[in-house]
Amino acid sequence: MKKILIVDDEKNFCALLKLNLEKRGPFEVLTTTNPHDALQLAKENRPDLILLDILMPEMDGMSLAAALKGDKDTKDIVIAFLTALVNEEDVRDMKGRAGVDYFFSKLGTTEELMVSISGILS
Amino acid sequence: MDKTIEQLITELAALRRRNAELETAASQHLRETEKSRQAFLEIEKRYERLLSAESRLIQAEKMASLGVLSAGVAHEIKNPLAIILQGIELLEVSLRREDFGDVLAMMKDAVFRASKITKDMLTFSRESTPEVAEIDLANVIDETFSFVDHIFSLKQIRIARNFPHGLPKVKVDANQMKQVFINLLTNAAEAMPEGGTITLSAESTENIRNRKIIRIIITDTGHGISAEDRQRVFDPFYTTRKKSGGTGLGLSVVKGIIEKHRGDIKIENGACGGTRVIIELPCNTDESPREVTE
Repeated sequence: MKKILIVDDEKNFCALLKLNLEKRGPFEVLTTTNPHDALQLAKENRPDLILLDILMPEMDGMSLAAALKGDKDTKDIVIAFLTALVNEEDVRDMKGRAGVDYFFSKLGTTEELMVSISGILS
Repeated sequence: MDKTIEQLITELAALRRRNAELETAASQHLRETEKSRQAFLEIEKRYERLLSAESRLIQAEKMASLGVLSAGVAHEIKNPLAIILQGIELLEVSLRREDFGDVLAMMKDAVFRASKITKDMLTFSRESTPEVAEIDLANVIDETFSFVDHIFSLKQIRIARNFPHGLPKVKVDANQMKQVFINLLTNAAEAMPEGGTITLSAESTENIRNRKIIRIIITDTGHGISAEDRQRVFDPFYTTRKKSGGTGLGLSVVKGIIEKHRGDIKIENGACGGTRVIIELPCNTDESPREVTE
């Protein structure tokens, strides 16, 4: 079963997205609202995909992505920004700078997200 | 008797002289009155320009503040909307549809509408400086068609394109121009729920201030525009399509972009019904676009 790690400071968003993804696909979904714990969780669980929020109070998604890409244990994990930021140009720029391959809008449907995730993980 | 006649002739001559003097004075007075009237009209015109400049300045200041505010607000609103959306989607797979009918779909539509408002608000308030390059406007419009083509074919909307060869290039931000044409073409399509034709034409000409311009005219065969809507159609948040999800910012964005490119835009009823949008963009490539809306 593919593993997905969601890192987002919105606790309720994490909980609901976890339930949605687990209901729709054969996924094991881990969540954390604390970006500082995310690196350790990723090292211990080696998820296939990390869905990463960008704007978080303690550490932003850009820095966390850089840390994950800079660690030998986590550098190959696929990272996708999952964000509520509205300006696609800004997000595209951040994605390029952080070496992140994908970005999804938090206001896309789970169905659309499932299609993208299946594409990435296949 | 002769003396009386002579006296009368003298008096008549004096009267004629006096009459001529009065006519000269009267025409002098009329000229001065006309000058005063012209001066008054000029003062009135300048006062109106001053009021309009003042109002644009106030608007620009408001927009600058709104830009900063709306970026933060948009993000803060989108996060709870994302939670609501996730909740709805979870209920969709957990509950039996027959118990709730279209309730969840309606809630989802509301979430997307609120999300669109935040996005439009941000686009509207952003005072991005155009990244200009000399381009062929016809190419930009053709690229725009590719975005809307599928919607138009579904709605049975035909596009007629009448662009002469050799139109001069214009110095514009291609992406902002695409946004202008997407908004205008989408509006035209919305005005024709039963299908119809959108005609795009362009010409190289001079405007009333003798500036070389490219004039683009977009005409639809829809229901036209009322006098009241025409007055307010560029006002932010003014929409005639509230029921179908219009936020009333599309045309404000369009006007802002055209003005930043030192152009003009107006909307009127077409000669044979429908609505006609006229855009004039300057050809003078030495003139940089405005950095901020005046």
